[in-house]
Amino acid sequence: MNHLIDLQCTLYTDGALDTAEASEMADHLASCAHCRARIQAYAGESALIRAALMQQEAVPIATVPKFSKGLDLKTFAFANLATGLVLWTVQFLWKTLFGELIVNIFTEITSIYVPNAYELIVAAAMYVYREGTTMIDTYLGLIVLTAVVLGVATLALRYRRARTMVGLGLGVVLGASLVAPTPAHALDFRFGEDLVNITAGETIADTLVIGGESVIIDGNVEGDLITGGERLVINGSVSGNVIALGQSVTINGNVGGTVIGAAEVLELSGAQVVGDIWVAGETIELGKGTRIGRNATVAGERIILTGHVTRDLTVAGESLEVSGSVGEDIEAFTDQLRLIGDASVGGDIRFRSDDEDRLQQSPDATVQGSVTFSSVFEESEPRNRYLDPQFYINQVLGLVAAFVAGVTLLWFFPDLRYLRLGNSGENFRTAGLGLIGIISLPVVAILMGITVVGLPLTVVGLFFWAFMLYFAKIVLASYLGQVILVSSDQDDSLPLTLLAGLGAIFVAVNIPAVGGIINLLLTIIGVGMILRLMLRYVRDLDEDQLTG
Amino acid sequence: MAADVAFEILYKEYYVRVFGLCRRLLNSSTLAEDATQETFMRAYRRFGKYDTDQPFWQWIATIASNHCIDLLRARRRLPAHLGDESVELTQLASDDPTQLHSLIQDANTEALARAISGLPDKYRIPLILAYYNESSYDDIAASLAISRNHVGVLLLRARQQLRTTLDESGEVFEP
Repeated sequence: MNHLIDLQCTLYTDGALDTAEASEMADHLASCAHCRARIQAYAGESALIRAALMQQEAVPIATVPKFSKGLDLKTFAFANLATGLVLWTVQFLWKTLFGELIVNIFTEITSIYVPNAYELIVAAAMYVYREGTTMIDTYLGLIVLTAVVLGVATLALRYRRARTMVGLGLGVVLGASLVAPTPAHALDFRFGEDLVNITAGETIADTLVIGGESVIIDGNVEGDLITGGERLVINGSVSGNVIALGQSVTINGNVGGTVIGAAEVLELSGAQVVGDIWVAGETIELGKGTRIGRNATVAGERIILTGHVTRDLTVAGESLEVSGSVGEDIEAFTDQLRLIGDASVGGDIRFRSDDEDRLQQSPDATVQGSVTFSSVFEESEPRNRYLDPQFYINQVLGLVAAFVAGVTLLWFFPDLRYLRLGNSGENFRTAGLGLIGIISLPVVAILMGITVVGLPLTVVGLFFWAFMLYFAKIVLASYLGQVILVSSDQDDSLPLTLLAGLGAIFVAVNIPAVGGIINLLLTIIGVGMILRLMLRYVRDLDEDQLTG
Repeated sequence: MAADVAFEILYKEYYVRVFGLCRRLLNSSTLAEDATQETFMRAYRRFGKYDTDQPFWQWIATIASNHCIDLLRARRRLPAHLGDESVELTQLASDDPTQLHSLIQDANTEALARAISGLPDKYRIPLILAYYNESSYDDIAASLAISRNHVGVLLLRARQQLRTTLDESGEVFEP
């Protein structure tokens, strides 16, 4: 037999060989002093390693956790029931006392002074135009920077040993953001104090963002047109979509896409729109010669259609006068509906009014389909959602989405899996922390937004808030799943525990009558758990126990 | 309940050892504190299944080391696959048997302990499991999802790195 190789030596020394192999080696060792020496050296090494490992170190004094309570589902359910009762009482009091009171006060105030929404929109739009794009640019930069810093901070917390990598990543991100062209380059900005005009011969190849007190577009825009001002007139043609906000908006030219607009007076006269229109205002007129290629959805006090809508016309408002034509159906949520002159409707009319007198139809007007009347409230009565198959499809889709999102999140942040709820007292504390978090975070975020510098933090904060609300129940589900599966030995499996927990939660939040409060409660506890983990991270940082 | 009182006693008795195991495996006191708590929580939940013929230390050490390995894997400090055994084997410098030096003398156990905590996770973990936990090669192989020989190779590599480290720091004792 040759000399033993290293692997044989270590297996032999540590007693890892089976009896047959071991005795074969023992035979060899009996006759080979060389190998005996090596085995001895290995054994010596092992002893030294053991001695080094056995060295005692300072151990933080551990408080004995309460093993008796707080881990079974019964306690969890009881504690939650109690928390839920408190929450429900608070919610009830809030609704009956304060809700009513506040709503009444608000109604009182608004009855004295009602600001003109269009004035407000125009004023805000003009402010942004004047103070400008530089402000938005700055904000965008700050938002991106804050997000990057937060992201890097998270990474640094997670991969404490890989700070060099993080630094490198940060460098790459910053470098890329400097080199990469900003989306603003694809836009054409035009702003002016008084009149801003795109003259008849002029063609804008990109998307045009344009603002001024008066905006008149006689030329052509080959991209989208986004515009705001007191008076907007579009005589030329726009190949893309039009978004227009102003006190008065007039479109006489052609639009290749969709028109989205809001104005006190919005008028389309001889305009050819290939796509849909979505417009709102006090007076909306789709005048003579106007042709909407697809559907028109209109909200306003007074709506006049003398042009042509190729497909459906959906209207909400006070009165609708049709003297033009509608290719398919009319759906009207209005007080009055008048078909004047030789108005023609290719399909049905569904008029949401009890009173048939409110439909006036001239003798020459034609309706190909039927005219039905139905009460506005008829269909808004609560239906039994449990009878709707769509409800179950939505629930399953929601469950799948939550599962995928949860697996991803917990895979990235394994610490979230090891969050624990303690006994009822701790449960209450977690719920309290969650409630405070849910309420205070958006308030703080919005307060920060009041100062100019704080705005990016507001955006980041609100994003984080929404993120937390969504993931709260997922984190809780992971814990619940571990509790549920503890007796099956599967409580280590991320997908299984998450699925079990999510399943239980999805059923719980859909229980009739109490599902809503359960949902709120679970969200609050989940947020509390996430916040507790974050507080612990902060504490760890304070104690500077980073290992590097 | 009597069982809870018994578990509290076990907790006090074994906390230091479990913490020591977790700290050595995770190389971080903060993480080890949490991992120890989690280990005891899991042990408590599964206490009903504890087979009293088995030493308690072995039982709880398995829970602790599995949890720590999961944590390291989740934090991606420990790769899911511990490399190729044959590749590792070729990387082993073939020690001249006569030159095989014992690592250090007792006076230098501190230096050795430092060197151990400086080992890469994939060498440190089997080393701790074998010599601190006193787990068998087969148990280590099962925990890390590798073969028994691969455990041996990783341990050899660990020893080799320790020798190199101590050699460089000049604290080696050559027999």
